[in-house]
Amino acid sequence: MVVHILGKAFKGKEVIRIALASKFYGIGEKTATKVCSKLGFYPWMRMHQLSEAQIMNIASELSTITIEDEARAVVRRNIALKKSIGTYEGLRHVLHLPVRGQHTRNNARTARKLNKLERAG
Amino acid sequence: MQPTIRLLARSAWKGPNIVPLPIKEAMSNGTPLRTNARSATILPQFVGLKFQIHNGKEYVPLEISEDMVGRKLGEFAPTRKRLTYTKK
Amino acid sequence: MLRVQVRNICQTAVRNAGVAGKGKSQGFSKPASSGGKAAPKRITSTTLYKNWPNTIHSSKLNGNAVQVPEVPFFNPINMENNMDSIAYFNDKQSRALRHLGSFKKGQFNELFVRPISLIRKDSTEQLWKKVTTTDSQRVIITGESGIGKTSLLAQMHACAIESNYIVVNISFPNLFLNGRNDFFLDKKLMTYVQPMYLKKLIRKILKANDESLLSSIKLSNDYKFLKTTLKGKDDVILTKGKNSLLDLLSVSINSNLRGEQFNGIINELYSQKKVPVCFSVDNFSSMLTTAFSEYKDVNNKNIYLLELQMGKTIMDIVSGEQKLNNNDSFVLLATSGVDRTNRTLPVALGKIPADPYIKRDIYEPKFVEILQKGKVEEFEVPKLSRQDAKNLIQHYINAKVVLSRDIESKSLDELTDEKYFMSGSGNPRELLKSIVLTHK
Repeated sequence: MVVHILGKAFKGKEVIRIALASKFYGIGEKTATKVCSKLGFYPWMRMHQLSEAQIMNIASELSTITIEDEARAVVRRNIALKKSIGTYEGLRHVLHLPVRGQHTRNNARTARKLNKLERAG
Repeated sequence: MQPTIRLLARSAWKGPNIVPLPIKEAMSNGTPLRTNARSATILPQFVGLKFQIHNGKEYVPLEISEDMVGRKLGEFAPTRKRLTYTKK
Repeated sequence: MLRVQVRNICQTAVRNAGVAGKGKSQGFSKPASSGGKAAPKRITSTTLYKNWPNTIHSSKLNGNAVQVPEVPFFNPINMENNMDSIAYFNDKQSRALRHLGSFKKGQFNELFVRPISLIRKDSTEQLWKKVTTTDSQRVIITGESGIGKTSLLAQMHACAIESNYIVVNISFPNLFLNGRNDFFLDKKLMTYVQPMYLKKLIRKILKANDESLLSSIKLSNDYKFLKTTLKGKDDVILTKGKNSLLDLLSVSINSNLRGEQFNGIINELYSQKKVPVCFSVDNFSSMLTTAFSEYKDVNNKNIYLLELQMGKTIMDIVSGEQKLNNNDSFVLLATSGVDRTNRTLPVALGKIPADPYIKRDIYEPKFVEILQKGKVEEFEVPKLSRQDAKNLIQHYINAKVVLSRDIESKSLDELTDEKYFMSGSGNPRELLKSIVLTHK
């Protein structure tokens, strides 16, 4: 019982709103709940209970929200803007350093890994 | 310097941090505005003006563009130098 | 040390409860051979990590309990013989009570061969007299946690079954409030209908009550339902005067029409004068304290209890909007110790003054209005007397649930004195806990 929504596979036993929140970048618990209640699903409805039409409805509902690559692009755009106007935050991103005033004597691993102009993640 | 946190910490009812600056003169003269008010919010009226912002040691020149509106002046004048090793 | 003991008990329970079968079947389809009786729940070593209270409730552990001779059956028609003594429910009562969901987990029913019940003058008889003979048609049973509100409700059900009442019991209102059943907005009824829940409830009503009693009620309205099968569409027509309530209960129709079916059932039950109806809601306090259910409407707002069909129906019956045409009919509500408490019920019963500046979460004025409109009266379950406790302990000794250490070292009176004190002067659940849960 695998359900496919926008190219992602979901197990049948997963609760819809939790599954949506966990699989899509740009959708959290709140947005997922909103989508579910808009389509009239009850809070603990599971994936295997969806009909074809309902799956289509979810897909069309999700297509109106900025998710996945679009959502990532928004983040990148914001970082690029900060860099281009020359703010301190942009500078820190370029230097692979923490942006929000954390110490850098040790650690700062996450920042070194992620903080780039083309932010990964 | 923690500009973002300061932005988040500010209540909406306070509005932007407006610091009285001699904008009119600067506009008419076209001379750079030399200021120590790093925490002043950049207002739409500032666009096109030249500023010199204190970074603790000297005054960093800056021309305000439209994208900078809503940020603080201090964000554009880094206060620390990057560590470099110098060979003798 | 304690842990070792507990493990020993658990392991004996596992050994006695049954042999584990092969691996569980996968997928969501039902097993092909689901006919006949359900097999007792398998208990394996992994079961212990699952929800243990649920497991002991449903795994028929009472098959291993000690038979106690000479326990009389509860006879509601002639209650005098049972008075202040322990009784079993007879087969007819037990069957009905099981269908109604009157026995609940956490009542320690697995310790005894059959669920036991202490028939008392100041609770059982008095409440039964109150609802049958006096004017009060709507009574709410209150009392501290573990005092026996649900047990008293079960006794009332048994009384009602024996006195030829039709019994409708909502055993756990959370089931239609917690968002785990499907729902949809019925455009015709303008309420939110829960087909999956209603199916179970209707089946409960059908199975718990006597068929001849149900078929004696002729319908007062015509009903027309649609049924879609693989072969095609069928119209199911029930005509007034000809078909009975039994037909309306047992009819198989499309799930989206179940709201209408349930409304019809309630209307038929209450519009007839022939058979009295006992309508009861256990854990009613959970309804009073959750004005907004977990369900969300299209705008992502939580749905108000009165917008749900179940909530509306129950509250209409409580408020008297739904008239009880038979004079013997009554409505029994019971609070629960596990639920959150707020000020709605005390205000409705006139115990504390209403405070208009208080949050709706703590005080719901609409429910107060409903309770007061229905003239709901309170019945507080009294504590056990010392004699009651002694009777119970005697039964526990007969059923061999008391530690032999206790029996050998103390006389019955001494044991009663000690345990009666430990039970907080007569709380039945605490009494049993102080006897059973002291394995150190």
